Amino acid sequence: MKRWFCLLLVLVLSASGAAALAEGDVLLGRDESLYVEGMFALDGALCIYGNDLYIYRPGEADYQTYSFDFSGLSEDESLSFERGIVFDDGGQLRGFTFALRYDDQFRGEIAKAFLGDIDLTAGGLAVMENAVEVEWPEELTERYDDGSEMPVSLSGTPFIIGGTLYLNAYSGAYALDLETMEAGELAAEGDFYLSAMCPYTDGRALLYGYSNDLEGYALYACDAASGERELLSAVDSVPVAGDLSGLAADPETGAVWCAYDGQIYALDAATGQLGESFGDMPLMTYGSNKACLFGGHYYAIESNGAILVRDLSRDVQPEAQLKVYDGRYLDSVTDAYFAYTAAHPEVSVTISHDYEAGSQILEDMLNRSSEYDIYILSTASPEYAALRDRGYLYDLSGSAAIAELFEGLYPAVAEHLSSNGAPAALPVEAAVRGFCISDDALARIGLTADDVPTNWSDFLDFLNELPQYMGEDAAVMAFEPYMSQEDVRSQLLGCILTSYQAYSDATADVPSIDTPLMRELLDKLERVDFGALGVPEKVVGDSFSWSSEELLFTTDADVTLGDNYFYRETPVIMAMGPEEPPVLAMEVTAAFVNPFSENAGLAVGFLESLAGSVPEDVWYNFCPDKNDPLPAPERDELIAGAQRYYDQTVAAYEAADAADKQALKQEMDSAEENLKQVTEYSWAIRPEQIEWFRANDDHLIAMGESWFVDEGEELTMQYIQGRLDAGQYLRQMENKVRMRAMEGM
Amino acid sequence: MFRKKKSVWLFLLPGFAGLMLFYIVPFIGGIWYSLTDGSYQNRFVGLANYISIWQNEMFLLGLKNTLLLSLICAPLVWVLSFVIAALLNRLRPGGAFFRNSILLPYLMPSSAMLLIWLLLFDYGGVVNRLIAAFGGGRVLWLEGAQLRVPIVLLFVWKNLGFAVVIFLAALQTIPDPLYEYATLEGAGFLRQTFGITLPLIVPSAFLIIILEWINAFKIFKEVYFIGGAYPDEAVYTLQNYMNNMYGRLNYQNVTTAAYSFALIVFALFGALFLLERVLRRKFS
Repeated sequence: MKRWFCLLLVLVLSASGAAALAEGDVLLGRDESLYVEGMFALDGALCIYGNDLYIYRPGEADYQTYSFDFSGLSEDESLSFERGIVFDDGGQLRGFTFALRYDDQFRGEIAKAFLGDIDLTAGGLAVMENAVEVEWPEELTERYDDGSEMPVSLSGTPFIIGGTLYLNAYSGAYALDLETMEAGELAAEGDFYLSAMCPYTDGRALLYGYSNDLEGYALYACDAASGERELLSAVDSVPVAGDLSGLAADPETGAVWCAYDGQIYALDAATGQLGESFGDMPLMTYGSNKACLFGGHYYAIESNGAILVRDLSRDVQPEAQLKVYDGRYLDSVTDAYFAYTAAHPEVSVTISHDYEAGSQILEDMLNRSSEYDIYILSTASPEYAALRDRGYLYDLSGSAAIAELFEGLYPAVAEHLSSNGAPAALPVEAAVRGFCISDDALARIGLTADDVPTNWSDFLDFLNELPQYMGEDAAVMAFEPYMSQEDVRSQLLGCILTSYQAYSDATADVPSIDTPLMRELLDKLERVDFGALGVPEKVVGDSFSWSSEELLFTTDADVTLGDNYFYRETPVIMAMGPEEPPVLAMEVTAAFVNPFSENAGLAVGFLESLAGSVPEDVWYNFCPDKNDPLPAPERDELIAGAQRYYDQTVAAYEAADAADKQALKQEMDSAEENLKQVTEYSWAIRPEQIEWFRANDDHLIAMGESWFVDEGEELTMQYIQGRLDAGQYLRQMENKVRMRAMEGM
Repeated sequence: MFRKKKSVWLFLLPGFAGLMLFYIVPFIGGIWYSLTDGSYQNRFVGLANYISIWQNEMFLLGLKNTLLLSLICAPLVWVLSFVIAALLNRLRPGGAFFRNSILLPYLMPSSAMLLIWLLLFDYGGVVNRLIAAFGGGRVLWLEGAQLRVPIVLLFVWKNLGFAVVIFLAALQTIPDPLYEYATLEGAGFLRQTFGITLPLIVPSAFLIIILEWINAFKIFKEVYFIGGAYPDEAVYTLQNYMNNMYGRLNYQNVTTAAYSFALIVFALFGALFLLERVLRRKFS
């Protein structure tokens, strides 16, 4: 019934013509993951540059690509040209590029710099012409201890005002006089930390950032030529002003736009207040997103290689609005946004990452708040446990798609995501932590993965036997070199507690921690001689490096299907003891509908889109019937490339004289080995990974709260520091466990 | 006269509206919550929550500890503040410095005081070092049942000043000639205290005991900050229970516990008011 209602609602709303991502709006670069160094308006178009230069004109479906060509600037082959900065100078595309020269020790120096026009050719090239050699400004040069130098990393939305080029760098913001080539740092006094800047009215630049004087974020108008900076307003009504991003202004009208918490807003520069929300901004904002206005009424904002362009001249409001709290910053949520709004253009969807929404979810439920329609958070959080236990999850059994999906899940996962026997939350991400053993490092000391126990009790004994083998190779280490003995002890105890939590959740009706098993494990942990394993009492230095061939154990490794590669590593789910089963504990991130949502039907529809956007490899963790290996997206391309290369080496070998054959044989063998490795390893999920996972899933659980670790944090620290002995520690932990159980938890 | 009565109601209206909005309505709303089942549908279940909670060991433990702590803290503050006020009352001139100083802990933020207390009672803190200096063994003051000691001391230290000020004000209303006559009649300090001082300050004395008891019932944040959501059984208070229930969205148990406790408090204070009335009649 609810589904039909939802469909009817959508049909009714479709007639209204209201739009979220509508005609005139476009998303660029998301599939290609563009590398965007900067962007700006150019003669009514949007100019983006990174590895290449891209021009987008309003009304077109996509951008045009131009490759940079600096070959005409110098014949000196020792020079390595870099793009530098590209900017618009009164409608003319110009570039400020530099060339590096490296010595035989690979130390670089800025050999030359050029300022010139950039011509876009029909052949897809961006060629620098009319170039004048200039001196690269000292203020934009970074020098290193080894004597090398590089330009500072320049990124953002460069623009010219009256012969001064405004540049954004990671180290600050600069105003470069193009006549004298002298650069001055904006906010050099250190009283202001720039977040964003853009061209503004009256020949000034608009700056946004943190002001020490105001102890908050503020808007300033700056004239680099005169050095004057005028405070326009403090931005103190925005809850998290540091998250305000995507600043762009119209120099003619003074209208300012920005992105904040999933929406595009007009920003009143005089008061610092956000105006009406224009519409959705589903891409992630992180305080320094590049943005600009172009073509008179288009707003473009960049985020992680995707660029959203919205037509600000549209004057329609959506008929329905959904608000999604995404506490995990998932790409699949953004994908779902585009899929859903394409199918339901009359619905506006705000994707919020507001931290406070997650922390006050319980208060919102008690207040029966309908502010958020969908929440996405970890089901291992105490908030999810409370919501599920008390039935504050909307019943999703009315969705045939979600109900069908539930039938394919591991029973433990399905049960964890159900409330009162009905599907209540959609799984969208999985995380499985485990133990990893390096096959290469073990081989160096004469051992194999089979020699390493796969339960904590025997493993702790094994640690005391290990030094006799480690003497074989001094470079091999048991644990990461930045960890002291106390750190390793603490890390191992944390892993044991996490394993015990999973074991207790899977096997015990009444949780208990002061058990003979735990006492035995703590006793063994205390008797491990970490000094003999080469772990220092105190760590010296702050820079460490090691390879997988040197580190024996990774105690807290990601063993999620699809997220790891396990190249020459053996993953292990540690059991508690030799007689105990390993428990595979999976942290599930899930999306659920607020039972007080006023748009529950639409929200369920969004979840259906989200289900379709979750990457295929994630489902392998949830569904026991997915057992076919999953190729990497580029697998066919990689194998074809490796095959072509191998075929070339074979052909060259066969055609070569006897004298050349030996060298070519090596190349051919290397190409053959490369082909084998590509064929074997270019999987998103390999057959042996699936086999390992399924072999360990007999006791798979969806993790609940890590209660032993979280509630016992203070006691654990006191135990590690020696202020409590094992008996006292376990007794006091047991006290907490017992009290919790007696409360009815 | 009728007009006067009308205007009185007009002046009372804003206060009454506030009282309704912020006290009466939430109070009645809370009672309703305590009679529902705790799901988001809020189905009526009668007294089932009350029956369940009074059979819950942790609720009973919290209740017991809260009453026990209040039975220790409130009278302790009462007695100490009376003695100090009596001494300060005799220290004229020159008592102003001590009068002002004793009020300082009351004005300090609790979190700041807690940090100081943690330093003092830490395993390597000042208190243990003093004990060790006198040949004693160090005590884990912040663990286990020993946590009661710093909690009680902190409560006394924080609330003493306010009680002293009230007692002092009451003592200063007693005419000096009464003591002079009593001295002439041969009455000693104790006889004067029990015969003159205490009877004349009965209203203030009862005000203090009630205020301190209310404050003692609210002991929680110190315990939570040091011991977490599940401290030792000896210091697990009713507020710990209610806080844990709140964190589980079990609003029903929170309100049930609160109203159960409220009934006990009403009974207790009812008895105190009765006693106060009897004593006032007796001494008047």
